[in-house]
Amino acid sequence: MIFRYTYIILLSLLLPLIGYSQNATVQGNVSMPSLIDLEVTYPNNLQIGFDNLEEFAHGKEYRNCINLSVKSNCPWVVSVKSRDNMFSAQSSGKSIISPDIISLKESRSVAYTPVSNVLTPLIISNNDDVINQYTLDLKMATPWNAEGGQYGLNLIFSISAQ
Amino acid sequence: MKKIIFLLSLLLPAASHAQVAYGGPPANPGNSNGVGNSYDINVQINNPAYFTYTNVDELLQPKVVTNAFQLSFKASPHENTRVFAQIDFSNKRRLVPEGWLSLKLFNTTSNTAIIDNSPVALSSYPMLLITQPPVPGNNTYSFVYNVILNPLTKHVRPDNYNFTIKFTMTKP
Repeated sequence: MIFRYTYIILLSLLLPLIGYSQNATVQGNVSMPSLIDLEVTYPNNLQIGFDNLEEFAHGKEYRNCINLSVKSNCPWVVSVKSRDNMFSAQSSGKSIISPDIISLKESRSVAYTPVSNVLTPLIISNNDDVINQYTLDLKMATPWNAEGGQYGLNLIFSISAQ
Repeated sequence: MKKIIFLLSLLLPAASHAQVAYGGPPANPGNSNGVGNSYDINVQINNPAYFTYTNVDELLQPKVVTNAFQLSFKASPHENTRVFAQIDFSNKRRLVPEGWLSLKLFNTTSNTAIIDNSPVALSSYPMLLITQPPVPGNNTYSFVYNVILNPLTKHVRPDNYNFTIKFTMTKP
């Protein structure tokens, strides 16, 4: 019986030697607002036009003609609209061309989105990367009623959090 | 007699541990010391680890609070003293990237401690921060750290993220 108590006492003495730990803490904070940025670039000032009757009859497509760079910490949507509800005549000719002869799409997608003076979604984020790069294709339909001349249209791209 | 021996056996470990046990909840927020003078590990806040983003490009750059805090502990004269660090975010409903925050040694009074020169990425699991080999005597060493908020590659939803970095000192 005395051995039994000896074991208990020895065990009790050894327990403190097994080791110990202590804690201390530091507290902090990260304030994360909604952060979104869109950069639009296009080469050659995006001069587009019809060079011959064949192009005029069938319309014209410009692949990868606009670059979009998106930086964001949250899901987003890029939309597009024209500033005015008609092309503006840069030379002779009346301004009767509707913006919807211009359509845009993300290069890897299939469906074109016609441009109007109402903000229309163009690309919706499909991943959670902070940086995303896209190129856009542009399609120009035939402006049947337009006279020959130069016409201008301002496109407005905007980005918002979903 | 049997009862006295049994009670004694239960009380002895408790009495021994009482000298090193953690001293309860922190005295003041932001500087939660494990210690006053009567304990072995201590944290002193020099510059609070508060981070704010003001533009999107800051997501892509590290943010650093230099000389953020000083960690001090008494080195064991007999065996290695190890300090581990782990992080806990209070905002459980948001996903936070692993290794968003790191600790980097700024300076130390120990010339024998084994410390990684590169930043230690904090995780919800304990990461080894310091290994202090045994030193004769009862020396206290200090380690000053920078807190680094690392660049992001993935979304982190807009919110306020409070965090606690917990240091655990172990002696075998």
